[in-house]
Amino acid sequence: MNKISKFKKSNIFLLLMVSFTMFTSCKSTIALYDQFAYTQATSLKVDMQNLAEESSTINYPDAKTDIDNLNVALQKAFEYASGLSKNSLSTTQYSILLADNGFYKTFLKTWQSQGKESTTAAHEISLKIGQLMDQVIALESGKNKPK
Amino acid sequence: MSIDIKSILSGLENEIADLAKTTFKNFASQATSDGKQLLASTKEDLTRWTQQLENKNITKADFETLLIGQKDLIQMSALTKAGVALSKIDEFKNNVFGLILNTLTGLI
Repeated sequence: MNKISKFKKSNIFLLLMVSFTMFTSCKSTIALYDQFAYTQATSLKVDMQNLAEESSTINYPDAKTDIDNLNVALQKAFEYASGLSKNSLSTTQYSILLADNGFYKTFLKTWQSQGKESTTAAHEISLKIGQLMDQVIALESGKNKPK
Repeated sequence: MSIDIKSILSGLENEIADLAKTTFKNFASQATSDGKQLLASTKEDLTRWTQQLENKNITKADFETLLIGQKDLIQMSALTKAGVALSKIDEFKNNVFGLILNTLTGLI
Protein backbone atom coordinates (compact mmCIF):
# COMPACT_ATOMS: atom_id res chain seq x y z
CA MET A 1 0.00 0.00 0.00
CA ASN A 2 2.83 2.34 1.01
CA LYS A 3 4.66 1.41 -2.20
CA ILE A 4 1.58 2.30 -4.29
CA SER A 5 1.21 5.65 -2.51
CA LYS A 6 4.90 6.36 -3.14
CA PHE A 7 4.45 5.42 -6.79
CA LYS A 8 1.47 7.77 -7.17
CA LYS A 9 3.27 10.63 -5.44
CA SER A 10 6.25 10.20 -7.74
CA ASN A 11 3.87 10.18 -10.72
CA ILE A 12 2.36 13.46 -9.59
CA PHE A 13 5.82 14.89 -9.05
CA LEU A 14 6.75 13.81 -12.57
CA LEU A 15 3.59 15.40 -13.99
CA LEU A 16 4.37 18.59 -12.08
CA MET A 17 7.88 18.66 -13.49
CA VAL A 18 6.57 18.08 -17.02
CA SER A 19 3.98 20.83 -16.59
CA PHE A 20 6.59 23.19 -15.19
CA THR A 21 8.91 22.48 -18.11
CA MET A 22 6.09 22.97 -20.60
CA PHE A 23 5.04 26.19 -18.85
CA THR A 24 8.51 27.70 -18.82
CA SER A 25 9.26 26.59 -22.38
CA CYS A 26 5.88 27.92 -23.53
CA LYS A 27 7.02 31.48 -24.14
CA SER A 28 4.60 34.06 -25.46
CA THR A 29 4.21 34.30 -29.23
CA ILE A 30 3.69 38.06 -29.22
CA ALA A 31 5.02 40.96 -27.15
CA LEU A 32 3.15 41.96 -24.03
CA TYR A 33 1.32 45.29 -23.72
CA ASP A 34 3.68 48.23 -23.44
CA GLN A 35 2.39 51.41 -21.78
CA PHE A 36 4.99 53.63 -23.46
CA ALA A 37 4.14 52.27 -26.93
CA TYR A 38 0.44 52.89 -26.23
CA THR A 39 1.04 56.49 -25.09
CA GLN A 40 3.32 57.07 -28.09
CA ALA A 41 0.61 55.84 -30.51
CA THR A 42 -2.20 57.92 -28.96
CA SER A 43 0.01 61.02 -28.99
CA LEU A 44 0.98 60.43 -32.64
CA LYS A 45 -2.67 60.02 -33.59
CA VAL A 46 -3.55 63.47 -32.24
CA ASP A 47 -0.48 65.15 -33.78
CA MET A 48 -0.98 63.53 -37.20
CA GLN A 49 -4.68 64.42 -37.29
CA ASN A 50 -3.88 68.02 -36.33
CA LEU A 51 -1.27 68.18 -39.11
CA ALA A 52 -3.80 66.91 -41.64
CA GLU A 53 -6.34 69.56 -40.58
CA GLU A 54 -3.55 72.17 -40.79
CA SER A 55 -3.01 71.30 -44.46
CA SER A 56 -6.11 73.29 -45.47
CA THR A 57 -4.97 76.50 -43.79
CA ILE A 58 -1.17 76.45 -44.00
CA ASN A 59 1.04 76.13 -47.07
CA TYR A 60 3.31 73.09 -47.08
CA PRO A 61 6.58 75.08 -46.82
CA ASP A 62 5.27 76.99 -43.76
CA ALA A 63 4.35 73.71 -42.04
CA LYS A 64 7.73 72.11 -42.79
CA THR A 65 8.95 72.31 -39.17
CA ASP A 66 5.78 70.61 -37.87
CA ILE A 67 6.06 67.98 -40.61
CA ASP A 68 9.72 67.27 -39.84
CA ASN A 69 9.05 67.00 -36.10
CA LEU A 70 6.20 64.61 -36.69
CA ASN A 71 8.25 62.49 -39.09
CA VAL A 72 10.96 62.19 -36.44
CA ALA A 73 8.37 61.19 -33.81
CA LEU A 74 6.97 58.57 -36.19
CA GLN A 75 10.47 57.24 -36.88
CA LYS A 76 11.14 57.05 -33.12
CA ALA A 77 7.92 55.08 -32.61
CA PHE A 78 8.99 52.66 -35.36
CA GLU A 79 12.43 52.23 -33.77
CA TYR A 80 10.90 51.67 -30.33
CA ALA A 81 8.45 49.08 -31.70
CA SER A 82 11.18 47.26 -33.66
CA GLY A 83 13.38 47.11 -30.55
CA LEU A 84 10.78 45.15 -28.58
CA SER A 85 10.98 41.38 -28.74
CA LYS A 86 8.25 39.56 -30.74
CA ASN A 87 6.76 42.85 -31.82
CA SER A 88 6.91 42.40 -35.60
CA LEU A 89 3.19 43.09 -36.15
CA SER A 90 3.30 46.54 -34.51
CA THR A 91 6.59 47.24 -36.28
CA THR A 92 4.99 46.35 -39.63
CA GLN A 93 2.12 48.74 -38.89
CA TYR A 94 4.62 51.58 -38.40
CA SER A 95 6.49 50.58 -41.55
CA ILE A 96 3.19 50.88 -43.49
CA LEU A 97 2.75 54.39 -42.06
CA LEU A 98 6.32 55.30 -43.00
CA ALA A 99 6.33 53.73 -46.49
CA ASP A 100 7.16 56.15 -49.31
CA ASN A 101 4.22 54.88 -51.36
CA GLY A 102 1.94 54.64 -48.30
CA PHE A 103 -0.94 56.91 -47.36
CA TYR A 104 0.86 59.31 -45.00
CA LYS A 105 3.83 60.04 -47.30
CA THR A 106 1.51 60.29 -50.33
CA PHE A 107 -0.60 62.83 -48.43
CA LEU A 108 2.53 64.91 -47.72
CA LYS A 109 3.52 64.78 -51.41
CA THR A 110 -0.01 65.81 -52.48
CA TRP A 111 0.00 68.66 -49.96
CA GLN A 112 3.41 69.79 -51.21
CA SER A 113 2.38 69.69 -54.88
CA GLN A 114 -0.97 71.42 -54.29
CA GLY A 115 0.31 74.00 -51.78
CA LYS A 116 -2.78 73.54 -49.62
CA GLU A 117 -5.48 70.91 -49.30
CA SER A 118 -9.17 71.76 -49.52
CA THR A 119 -11.08 71.74 -46.22
CA THR A 120 -12.93 68.61 -47.35
CA ALA A 121 -9.74 66.77 -48.34
CA ALA A 122 -7.95 67.79 -45.13
CA HIS A 123 -10.87 66.51 -43.08
CA GLU A 124 -11.07 63.20 -44.97
CA ILE A 125 -7.31 62.70 -44.62
CA SER A 126 -7.51 63.47 -40.90
CA LEU A 127 -10.29 60.88 -40.51
CA LYS A 128 -8.27 58.23 -42.35
CA ILE A 129 -5.15 58.95 -40.27
CA GLY A 130 -7.28 58.55 -37.15
CA GLN A 131 -8.53 55.15 -38.36
CA LEU A 132 -4.99 54.00 -39.20
CA MET A 133 -3.61 55.04 -35.82
CA ASP A 134 -6.61 53.38 -34.14
CA GLN A 135 -5.30 50.08 -35.55
CA VAL A 136 -1.88 50.64 -33.93
CA ILE A 137 -3.62 51.53 -30.66
CA ALA A 138 -6.02 48.55 -30.85
CA LEU A 139 -3.15 46.12 -31.43
CA GLU A 140 -1.21 47.49 -28.47
CA SER A 141 -4.22 47.50 -26.13
CA GLY A 142 -5.17 43.99 -27.30
CA LYS A 143 -1.89 42.54 -26.06
CA ASN A 144 -1.81 40.72 -22.74
CA LYS A 145 -0.88 42.87 -19.77
CA PRO A 146 2.37 41.99 -17.98
CA LYS A 147 1.75 40.27 -14.61
CA MET B 1 -5.06 8.17 0.06
CA SER B 2 -5.88 6.88 -3.40
CA ILE B 3 -5.82 9.26 -6.31
CA ASP B 4 -8.13 8.81 -9.28
CA ILE B 5 -5.89 10.04 -12.11
CA LYS B 6 -8.54 9.24 -14.74
CA SER B 7 -11.11 11.43 -13.00
CA ILE B 8 -8.58 14.24 -12.52
CA LEU B 9 -7.59 14.15 -16.20
CA SER B 10 -11.21 14.04 -17.28
CA GLY B 11 -12.02 17.02 -15.03
CA LEU B 12 -9.06 18.93 -16.45
CA GLU B 13 -10.16 18.13 -19.99
CA ASN B 14 -13.61 19.60 -19.32
CA GLU B 15 -12.15 22.69 -17.67
CA ILE B 16 -9.78 23.25 -20.62
CA ALA B 17 -12.67 22.89 -23.07
CA ASP B 18 -14.68 25.48 -21.11
CA LEU B 19 -11.67 27.77 -21.00
CA ALA B 20 -11.27 27.51 -24.80
CA LYS B 21 -14.93 28.34 -25.31
CA THR B 22 -14.85 31.45 -23.10
CA THR B 23 -11.45 32.64 -24.42
CA PHE B 24 -12.20 32.38 -28.13
CA LYS B 25 -15.98 32.79 -28.38
CA ASN B 26 -16.01 36.56 -27.79
CA PHE B 27 -12.92 37.01 -29.94
CA ALA B 28 -14.44 35.23 -32.95
CA SER B 29 -17.66 37.24 -32.86
CA GLN B 30 -15.72 40.50 -32.36
CA ALA B 31 -13.42 39.72 -35.33
CA THR B 32 -16.41 38.95 -37.58
CA SER B 33 -18.18 42.14 -36.53
CA ASP B 34 -15.02 44.23 -37.13
CA GLY B 35 -14.61 42.70 -40.60
CA LYS B 36 -18.19 43.52 -41.56
CA GLN B 37 -17.80 47.05 -40.20
CA LEU B 38 -14.62 47.60 -42.24
CA LEU B 39 -16.36 46.44 -45.41
CA ALA B 40 -19.33 48.72 -44.76
CA SER B 41 -17.12 51.73 -44.01
CA THR B 42 -15.08 51.09 -47.21
CA LYS B 43 -18.28 51.21 -49.24
CA GLU B 44 -19.41 54.42 -47.49
CA ASP B 45 -16.00 56.08 -47.94
CA LEU B 46 -15.77 55.23 -51.65
CA THR B 47 -19.27 56.56 -52.31
CA ARG B 48 -18.56 59.80 -50.42
CA TRP B 49 -15.13 60.39 -52.05
CA THR B 50 -16.55 59.79 -55.52
CA GLN B 51 -19.23 62.39 -54.83
CA GLN B 52 -16.66 64.82 -53.44
CA LEU B 53 -14.48 64.32 -56.53
CA GLU B 54 -17.44 64.98 -58.84
CA ASN B 55 -18.29 68.13 -56.86
CA LYS B 56 -14.61 69.21 -57.06
CA ASN B 57 -14.36 69.32 -53.25
CA ILE B 58 -11.30 67.09 -53.52
CA THR B 59 -8.78 66.67 -56.36
CA LYS B 60 -7.99 63.47 -58.26
CA ALA B 61 -4.69 63.32 -56.32
CA ASP B 62 -6.61 63.55 -53.02
CA PHE B 63 -8.95 60.79 -54.20
CA GLU B 64 -6.00 58.54 -55.06
CA THR B 65 -4.34 59.36 -51.73
CA LEU B 66 -7.50 58.36 -49.87
CA LEU B 67 -7.67 55.08 -51.83
CA ILE B 68 -4.12 54.30 -50.68
CA GLY B 69 -5.28 55.12 -47.15
CA GLN B 70 -8.08 52.57 -47.44
CA LYS B 71 -5.64 49.93 -48.71
CA ASP B 72 -3.29 50.69 -45.77
CA LEU B 73 -6.21 50.49 -43.36
CA ILE B 74 -7.16 47.01 -44.57
CA GLN B 75 -3.56 45.82 -44.16
CA MET B 76 -3.20 47.39 -40.72
CA SER B 77 -6.53 45.99 -39.60
CA ALA B 78 -5.40 42.49 -40.61
CA LEU B 79 -2.22 42.96 -38.54
CA THR B 80 -4.29 44.06 -35.55
CA LYS B 81 -6.56 41.01 -35.84
CA ALA B 82 -3.55 38.69 -36.13
CA GLY B 83 -1.89 40.28 -33.09
CA VAL B 84 -4.98 40.12 -30.91
CA ALA B 85 -5.49 36.46 -31.94
CA LEU B 86 -1.90 35.61 -30.94
CA SER B 87 -2.40 37.36 -27.59
CA LYS B 88 -5.58 35.31 -27.02
CA ILE B 89 -3.68 32.10 -27.80
CA ASP B 90 -0.94 33.09 -25.33
CA GLU B 91 -3.57 33.85 -22.70
CA PHE B 92 -5.22 30.49 -23.30
CA LYS B 93 -1.92 28.57 -23.09
CA ASN B 94 -0.97 30.31 -19.85
CA ASN B 95 -4.39 29.61 -18.34
CA VAL B 96 -4.22 25.91 -19.34
CA PHE B 97 -0.82 25.44 -17.74
CA GLY B 98 -1.98 27.36 -14.68
CA LEU B 99 -5.01 25.08 -14.44
CA ILE B 100 -2.88 21.92 -14.71
CA LEU B 101 -0.39 23.15 -12.14
CA ASN B 102 -3.09 24.19 -9.67
CA THR B 103 -4.87 20.85 -10.01
CA LEU B 104 -1.69 18.85 -9.51
CA THR B 105 -0.32 20.92 -6.66
CA GLY B 106 -3.71 20.56 -4.97
CA LEU B 107 -3.14 16.82 -4.83
CA ILE B 108 0.05 17.07 -2.79
